[in-house]
Amino acid sequence: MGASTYASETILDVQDQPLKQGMSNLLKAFDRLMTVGTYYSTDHEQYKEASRKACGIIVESIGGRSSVILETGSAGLMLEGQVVNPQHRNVRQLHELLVSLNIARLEIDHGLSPEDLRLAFKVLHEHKLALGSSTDFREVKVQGLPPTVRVLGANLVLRDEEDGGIDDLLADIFGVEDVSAVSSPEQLAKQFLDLITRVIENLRDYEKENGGGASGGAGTDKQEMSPQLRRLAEDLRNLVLVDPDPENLLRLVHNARRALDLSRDSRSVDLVFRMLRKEVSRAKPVADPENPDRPAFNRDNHDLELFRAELDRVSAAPRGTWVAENPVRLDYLGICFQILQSEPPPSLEIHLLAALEVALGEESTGPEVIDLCAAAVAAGVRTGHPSAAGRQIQAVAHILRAHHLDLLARFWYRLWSSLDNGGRGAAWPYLANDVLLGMDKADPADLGALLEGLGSVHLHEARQSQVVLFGLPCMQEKSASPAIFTVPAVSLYALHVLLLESPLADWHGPRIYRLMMRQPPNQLTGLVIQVLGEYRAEDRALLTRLLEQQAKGTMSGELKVWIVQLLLGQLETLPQSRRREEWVDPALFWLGQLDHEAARSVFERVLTERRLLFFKAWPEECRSQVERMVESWNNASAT
Amino acid sequence: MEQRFSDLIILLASGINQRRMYFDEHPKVRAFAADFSLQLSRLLGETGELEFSFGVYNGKFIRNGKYLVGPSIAGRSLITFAERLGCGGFAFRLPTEPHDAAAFFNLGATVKDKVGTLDDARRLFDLRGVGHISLLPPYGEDKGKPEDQPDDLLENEEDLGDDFSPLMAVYQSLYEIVSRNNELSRRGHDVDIQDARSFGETLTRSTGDVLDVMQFIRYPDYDSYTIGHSVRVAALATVVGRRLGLDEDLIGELSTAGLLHDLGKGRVPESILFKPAKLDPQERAIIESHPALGAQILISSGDASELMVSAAWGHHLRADGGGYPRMPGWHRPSFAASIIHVCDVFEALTAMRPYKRSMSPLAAYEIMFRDRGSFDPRPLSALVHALGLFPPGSEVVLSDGRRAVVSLKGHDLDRPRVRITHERSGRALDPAARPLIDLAGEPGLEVVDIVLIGATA
Repeated sequence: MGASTYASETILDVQDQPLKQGMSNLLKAFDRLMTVGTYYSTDHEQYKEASRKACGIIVESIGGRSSVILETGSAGLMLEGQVVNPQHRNVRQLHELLVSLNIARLEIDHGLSPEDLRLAFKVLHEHKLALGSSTDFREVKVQGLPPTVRVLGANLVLRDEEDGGIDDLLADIFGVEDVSAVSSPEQLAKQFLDLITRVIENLRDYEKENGGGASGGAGTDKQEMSPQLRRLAEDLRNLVLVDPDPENLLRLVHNARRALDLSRDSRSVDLVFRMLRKEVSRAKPVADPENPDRPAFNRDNHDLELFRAELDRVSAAPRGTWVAENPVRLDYLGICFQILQSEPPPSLEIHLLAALEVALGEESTGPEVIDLCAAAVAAGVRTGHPSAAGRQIQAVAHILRAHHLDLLARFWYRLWSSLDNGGRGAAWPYLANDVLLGMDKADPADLGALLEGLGSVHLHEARQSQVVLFGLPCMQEKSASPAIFTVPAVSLYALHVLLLESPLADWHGPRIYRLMMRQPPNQLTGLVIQVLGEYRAEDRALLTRLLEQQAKGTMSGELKVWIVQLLLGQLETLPQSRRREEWVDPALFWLGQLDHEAARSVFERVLTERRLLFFKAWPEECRSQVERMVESWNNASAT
Repeated sequence: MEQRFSDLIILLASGINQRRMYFDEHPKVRAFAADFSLQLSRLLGETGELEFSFGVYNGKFIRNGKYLVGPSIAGRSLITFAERLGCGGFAFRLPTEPHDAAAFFNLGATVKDKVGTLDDARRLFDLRGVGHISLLPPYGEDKGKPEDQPDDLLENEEDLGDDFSPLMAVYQSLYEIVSRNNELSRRGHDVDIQDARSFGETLTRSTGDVLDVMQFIRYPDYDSYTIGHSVRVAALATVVGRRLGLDEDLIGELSTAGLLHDLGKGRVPESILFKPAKLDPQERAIIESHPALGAQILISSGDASELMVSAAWGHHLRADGGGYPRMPGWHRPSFAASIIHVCDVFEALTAMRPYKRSMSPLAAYEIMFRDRGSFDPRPLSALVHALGLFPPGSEVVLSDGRRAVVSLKGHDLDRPRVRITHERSGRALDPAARPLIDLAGEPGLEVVDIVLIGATA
């Protein structure tokens, strides 16, 4: 099912703007699949079919991106910078599922497969079921998702941009020689005091509305507050005098902002009081005789037991093979490929290709490295820059051919398996090149699969990369791997057709001709080859048509005429000494099949010709064949 | 007290650096000027002196006949300024006002070449309205020796002070190599990998134990956080690498990778790198390009190892797949990138900055553990186990009021071996009479406070 099925209705964002290209279809694909999932289990054939279609649409919608991210928020579902109403009929199911699992972010990789999609939804639904059936509070940790689907819990995601989470803290630290402009102690303290003043005002208003507060005349705000609130306000203000450490002030400012937000809601006032009292109670420095103003380490503020437990948990991670399992080589190769895929300047590309040569050329290069190269190149093909991807394929293939020929077929097999039809079309000429140049020591199964892959691309697609193929090394040498002659010519008809039209047609032509002779794709082709006899260059066009005819399954009018002319030409001038050759009988049959009218003159001759005025000039078999055919025509005419 | 004078020198150098980044009326520059003026007047008020002076000789600061090692490393901009002025030091008299200090910073940041003679330099100071600050004659001039000139400076280098160790020479060399490479990167020139590699290996050989490494960490570097940061990350990487049992060659590579991991920042415009406000999305995207830029620079050099490239690219990658640059599913960071990531963050959290106390290691660990998805557990736990909660070299306060310096991490993370330096009363003990105590054998005694690096009164 193509995207056009959904094209009729585009989802609008909360500002009534259409979603970016592909995103409407993506959301609808999710929604549709989830709807099917309400009727069928994930193992049901209907669901599998739906997941295949949905996956195709999702991957198509992702397009050239490496992934797409959906985020849940109070405003709605966010993707590609736009926000969609969470109650939209195509969004509600997905949004509710994510929110129920406390998932703030869902990331779908471009490499998503239908199996991955099914597994992802199966996992999410199982978690949701477990959550629904639990009887106590628990934190949901979604586990078991496929690698192409990633989630992030809301408690790890900093929705407030000014939150002091580690990334923001580090951004503040890394960004400048000093912390950001607001982080000098004086400015932080001022910010905190401003915020606290506003919080206290809100709390004071709450008190007044609810009959609390101190009675008293006009004057300062303090006189309108309850003693409790006034004391809290003073304690909070003193915090910044006791502890001017910018790090602590950052935290105080952050918490003060939260308190301010909460204090606007009368239902949260008690919570605000508790937060602020806790903040005050935390500030209990241990006195230092030399520096009484310096904030203390204060073991009470650091739960060492908790930390030790956490350290034990972290330390339990097995270390033995960690270095070997996270090798530098794979990372390095991945980096080189990623930079190559960003279309670097030529000077850098030269260095990168040289780096690849060194890394891949090493003796230690093995299957794991090859698989990574294949995955990386496949990603490059998917980015949609054919020339860049082609250069990467050539680079890797060249290096492997020079240093690890035994692994070349594995590379191609992994790569080919990762590509969709469009990608395969782009990679086809390079595969053809390597198959022609030969892949010695290849695993027979891999080679067979590659030949099958080579043959799976139709001629019209292959022609689109004809120019590329003709520029590759396989067209520089008069050689071809025997592999392409181990399968019937028609299996690789696109390749053979292009070879017959290539600069090396004179060299490839006879070989392809002999293959067609040995393994004729059908009886007619076998007959034509027999009739032609020896290979001649001027017969290449006819051979090409024959291959196309077999691949397409239909015979063009042009080919029919060609064959008829050929057979007529041979039969009309056939000397008696040759009339018993094995091709003659089939030739008469096919001539009659292809063109009645053209055959009549020959047929009449076969039936009536005499030698020495008495003896039949044509063999009995030929005459019988012709008689049967003429009779069948007559019968057909009569009815 | 002398430490406070050293801190003043560093403050002067920092003021010059701030002025380099911002215009002269910028709040940060004015804040530094005001702070210097205040600190100077307080200090001189306490000592009863009317003038604060120090010498500059042979690329180092001198005061009272001693080289000042820390400031000599951190105050390079001030040393360069003195050399361009052709003076042998500076003297600051009361009342050095904030505008005097600001004018001093302004000159320090804008004088790019040698200024004729010392008299020319003095005239320049007068012209620019730098009051209450004098330029001292260079050492060896016949026009009167400045006070505190060490007569036997050249002959008696034994009088270098306790702080000056061979490690400092290594630190200084590392600092220079990182600084040079950053500048080369900024100008688009080829960087010097071989030099970095040889110094990285030197660092590995020189830092036999954690105590050595922590000496690196302790020295302030207000001069340029980025450069000192790379040096300290390199030192931490050796610690983690040893704890993980890596071989020495690999540790040497890690060390060099630490020196070079932020090379890409040289290509980020300083207006973005040092922007004193929150970055907008475009600016953040530029900042976040520095790992990829660094990796490209290293690859282009042709000399960098795969490990160095991996560390430069991946040092902001999270273990959970987040971070930057974006990582496709088929690509995962190496163990080296994970190690540098942990060291990078720990250093950032615990290092000293102007107006920012360094965070204690425990507080840093807690922050890093809280964000558990970010870090690979193996280098993270190796770091903690290697340094302990109170890393060697830390100054701590014990529960009985005494002060001590951690000499060795104990078996328990929070019960190290310490050497007592001050009595309960605050009196400093004679260096020859400082007892060593193993807190593991003292159940009633524990560390209650850690003196954060760079804390000033």
